[in-house]
Amino acid sequence: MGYKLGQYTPGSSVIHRLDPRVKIVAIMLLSITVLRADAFIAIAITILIAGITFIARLSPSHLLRAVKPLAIFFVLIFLMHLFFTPGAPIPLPLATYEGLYRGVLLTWRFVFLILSAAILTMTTTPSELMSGIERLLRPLRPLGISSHDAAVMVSMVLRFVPTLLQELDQIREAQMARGADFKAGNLLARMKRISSLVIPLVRNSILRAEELAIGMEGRGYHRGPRTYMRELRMTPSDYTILVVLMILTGLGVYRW
Amino acid sequence: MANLRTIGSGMSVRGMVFAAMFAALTAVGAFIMIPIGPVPITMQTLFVHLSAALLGSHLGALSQLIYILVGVIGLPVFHGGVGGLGVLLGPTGGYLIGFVAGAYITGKLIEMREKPRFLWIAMSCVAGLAVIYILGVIQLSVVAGLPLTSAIAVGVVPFLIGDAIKMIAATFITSKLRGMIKL
Amino acid sequence: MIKVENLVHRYDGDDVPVLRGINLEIKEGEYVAIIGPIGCGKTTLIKHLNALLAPTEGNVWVDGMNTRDTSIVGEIRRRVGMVFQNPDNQIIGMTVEEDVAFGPGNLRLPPREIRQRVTEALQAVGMGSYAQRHPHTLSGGEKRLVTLADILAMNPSYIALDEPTSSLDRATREVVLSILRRLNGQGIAMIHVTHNMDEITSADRIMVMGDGRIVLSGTPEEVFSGV
Repeated sequence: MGYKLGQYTPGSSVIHRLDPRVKIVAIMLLSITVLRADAFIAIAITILIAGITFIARLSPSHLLRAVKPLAIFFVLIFLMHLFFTPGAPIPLPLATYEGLYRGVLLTWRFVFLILSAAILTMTTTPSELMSGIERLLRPLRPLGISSHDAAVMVSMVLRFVPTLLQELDQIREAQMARGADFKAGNLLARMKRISSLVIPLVRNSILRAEELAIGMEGRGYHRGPRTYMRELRMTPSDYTILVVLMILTGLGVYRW
Repeated sequence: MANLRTIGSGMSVRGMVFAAMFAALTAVGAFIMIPIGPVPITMQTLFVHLSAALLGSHLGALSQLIYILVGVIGLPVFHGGVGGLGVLLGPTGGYLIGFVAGAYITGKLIEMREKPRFLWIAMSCVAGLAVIYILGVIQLSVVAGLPLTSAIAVGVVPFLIGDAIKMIAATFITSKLRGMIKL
Repeated sequence: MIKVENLVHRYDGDDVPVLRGINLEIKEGEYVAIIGPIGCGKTTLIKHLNALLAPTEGNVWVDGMNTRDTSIVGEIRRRVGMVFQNPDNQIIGMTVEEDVAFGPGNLRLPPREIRQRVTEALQAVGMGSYAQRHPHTLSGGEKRLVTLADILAMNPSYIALDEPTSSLDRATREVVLSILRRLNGQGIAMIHVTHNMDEITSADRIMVMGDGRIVLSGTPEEVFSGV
């Protein structure tokens, strides 16, 4: 089964080599700016994202695929604004100029929120993202959240999602071989089929979790601080980019 | 394995592993699409109910928090295979935050009864679901600039039939598997 | 040396103990096979060797350390590595190398040393070129070798293996067994639990378990002539 862990596209561009912490913070800053952007800022960010895509040698069509699962939803929101915003009419029944402007701007925001995050995952391996998150969460220790425990849990999710999907396929095939039809039937029948799919999956997962916990303790796992194979190190260019981004965000958010 | 040792206090390693496993299951739920009602629905909320009912309020909410964290670092584990911080900040992000709060509420309500019956578990799931919808609709309305009525029309109504079925399925599955986990 | 004295184990809620007075010694560098029917307590016994369980009665000593002493459990678990039956329930890293790095990370070793141990452990099981692979893309045999590398990265003195070759095909089983013998030749003691007789003819010693006790113990010649 071809489930891919994320959409990482190998490469050696400046964007690929940036410290993952810088990239994560950059995406957060960019997201805030995107959510508050007006038309002018939107154009600036579009150029910025296009530039980054070019520098990182990412395929634009590959990047745009990230938006696909939510596309229908975005179109719906766009149409609602187009038709239900009061204002000057444009030559289309019920639509208004203000509605068009708001619809386009909002849809642009949602698309670019996803695109900027997609650039992060296309240029950073899941392992790097994990180390980045682990380091960024360290200050949360006083709140009772151990970044090390969170990192171990996240990495287990990444480890087991593909395995669970394989298992789900096996269960589904076994049931179809026994004549189960997942597309037809009344609501009660569908509910039963969902249960017949989910019960074995959850049962296996519970048994697996029991064994995993024993295995982890057997390998000396204890909650709290541990060390990693790779340590992150910020370079001068990492710091430079971080500072530049912060200034740009400040300008983008507060000038208008 | 009741006398299995665990080092450290508070949450056990087993608890952690269970939370991680249910986070993974919720992610898998995003890939199970079943055509019910007007739109194809995914199974995440089924696993939100299950993590709350089987793991309890604390670990159930933790499992959903980990699920969000995995999605935020960009793994395609949100509805139908999207990921990234953008989704959390976008129009549908409120539902995801609702998963954490909803799991907590469902878990708390179930924990109030020594031996919860079918109806009590079902009602606890309804309460959790209500929390998910409230947070979801608020963020949808704010971020997408929609009036509340439109947000409900887009963000609640199409999913009601599917959610009713998932809720009953979750209650049924819980009654089957509840004895398996001793935390 | 691992020393087990009058070990009794009863799981909470059970009336009958699973282990009913086990006595045994395992020396450094020895290859010990433990055989017996399903349900005789083999798995419970080896869980005691790395302090995953605490004795109901009796004592287990690993190089002089009592497994009841919770303050040294970490060191006991480092010395006695455990390989369980199903490799899919042991691999927790999202890549092979991160999985092998998990144990050394728990020991809080510096990154450079973790990297070195990961490389060495993967080479020792012939999986050097698999470092970046995702676990779900590996075959059953490859996963088994990864779990062996997981343990090797801890620099153990003993490795306890619970049916390490079950569900493997014949060729893969031979690969795993030859790696176990080679590691044993390098001085790591092996405690190999199995119900497959022909896997253990080369063991130094065989212990036959039945119903929570060791019913027979000796060299393969002694044991097989006694059966």
